[in-house]
Amino acid sequence: MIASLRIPYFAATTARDSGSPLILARFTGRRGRVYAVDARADEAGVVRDMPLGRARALCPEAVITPAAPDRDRRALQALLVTLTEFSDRLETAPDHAQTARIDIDLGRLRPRDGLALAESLLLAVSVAGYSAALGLAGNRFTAATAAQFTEPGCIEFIPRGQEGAFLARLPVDLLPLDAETARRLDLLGLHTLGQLAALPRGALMEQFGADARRLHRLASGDDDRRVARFVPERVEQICRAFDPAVDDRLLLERVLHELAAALDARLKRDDLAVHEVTLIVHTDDRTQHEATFSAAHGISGAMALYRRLCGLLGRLTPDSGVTALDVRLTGLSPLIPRQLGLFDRGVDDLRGAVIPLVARYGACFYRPQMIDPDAPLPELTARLEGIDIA
Amino acid sequence: MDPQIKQEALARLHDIIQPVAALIPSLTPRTLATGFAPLDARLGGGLPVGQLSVLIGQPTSGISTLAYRLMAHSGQPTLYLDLSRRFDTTYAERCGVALDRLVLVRPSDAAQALDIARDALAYLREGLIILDCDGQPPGESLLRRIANPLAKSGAAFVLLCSGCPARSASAAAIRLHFERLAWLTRDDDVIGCRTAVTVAKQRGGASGDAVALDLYFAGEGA
Repeated sequence: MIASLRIPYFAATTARDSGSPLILARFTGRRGRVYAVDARADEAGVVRDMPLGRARALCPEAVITPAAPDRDRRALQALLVTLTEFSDRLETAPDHAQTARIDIDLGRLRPRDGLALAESLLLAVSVAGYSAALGLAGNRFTAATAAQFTEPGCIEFIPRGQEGAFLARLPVDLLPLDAETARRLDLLGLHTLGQLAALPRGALMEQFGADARRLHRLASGDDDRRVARFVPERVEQICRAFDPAVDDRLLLERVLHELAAALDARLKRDDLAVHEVTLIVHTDDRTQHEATFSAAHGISGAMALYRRLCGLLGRLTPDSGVTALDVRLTGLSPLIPRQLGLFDRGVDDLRGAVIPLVARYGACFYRPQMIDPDAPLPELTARLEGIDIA
Repeated sequence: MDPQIKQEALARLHDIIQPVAALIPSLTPRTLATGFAPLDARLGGGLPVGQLSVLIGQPTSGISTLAYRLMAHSGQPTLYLDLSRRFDTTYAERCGVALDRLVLVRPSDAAQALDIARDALAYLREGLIILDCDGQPPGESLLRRIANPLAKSGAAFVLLCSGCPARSASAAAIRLHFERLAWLTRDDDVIGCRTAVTVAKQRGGASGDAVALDLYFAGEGA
């Protein structure tokens, strides 16, 4: 039995910081676009990817704050870890900013037991601070569709054998259709899943190709996709406490150097690079300050980690003494190999070849060089240095 | 001769030759691994040394990414003939390319690019030559000029082009067609693409089947 959870306004609920309508925005240069909204901004007509100027006009009382996709991802991971109490087969849709969808395979259950588990699931989600609608059915498509047509806090149960009847009256655009197929279905007057399911599968495949088999099966309430096993995101964490509190910046940087070396040793063991470095500084006035560095490309090596951590410490600048430093590494991915050579005979050959070639063909030979990998403009990150035989 | 006896004799001969052949470098075809295990397995180890490999695909289909990862993974010093003027130093470095083992050449046309490649092959005992030719692939007669020096060298030659494969079709030992299937996203950001690589031609091997590869822009593993 599959339980499908639909959690509307996921990012806005994660950000919850005021009673006003909330708009989360992403900025590219000076322009901003809507990333996610809460229920009240949604009612006012603000939708995703709308320019911020238009969103402000539609909902002038809304609070606009920058989106934090990393925070949302962490929140979703935490929720998934909680839900592993029910099943280790959990899968979530990649886009969870506006609506998070989680499919859970509860295994073979009697309907009464399935409903009892579904109620516990809703309770667990509400304890985590979210409000979810739950669809319960024998397969993923039917369960997800049931969740879509249910109010948050409610359960829609589709008994086995009644999937086709439930889906029959629903619109055909619930299926994963490309634009051309959707257009042709509309032209053929096929508007509901029931109309599609009633057609012979062979005729449908003749019109729309091999993919029509899958569409026909889904429309008939037959979906054999399995829910994958959930693998929690790996996090590497290290902490160092101080008693008494320390306010010497040099000493803190030295400790960060040690922590970076220890974390790098752990990463090296599994050939991993890190995409997100978080530094949490606990101070003796019982507050904690947190800063995160996100790297588009993976960071590896103790020195690179140390440099990022020093940068984060500089951003936080705690006023009072530091009682603990907490470093967390997330977004771990396999390290790609670097181009190395044990014997540089080939490089010598190449260098030897270039000199006569430059002499013969002129100035079209270059040595690419990195200037500053973190520079804001592409032209400042790298340059091509002409090879001169002189 | 009885076909069964002939088959058994050939099988015995193969058993005798194979261990000996493995000891003689010239009899075992050398390959450069691309770093993408499914593709390397399909190609019998990677792209062949001493022969021409052609990678065909539209921009953003992943041919440049595969070329950069080939440079990084093979560890070979590389002469990159950038006819398309699209070489991206930052991205290449992110893909693991050691820039001190790379010489970038921006020739005026395909004929000059192949002249440079032919002259370089005379000096190279091993290495990798990549010609990124975007829309103006060299004709077969031009490619045949480098076939002999390439076969004698220990270098691999990879031609990247976005179309017109027929002009260089027969000179290639391997021809791979790249087609982007989908973008890979994380939190609304595009972090890579899923690409179908079809082995359109493989000299001495079967062709026609495809391998799906996940190519990540930020340098994550395949």
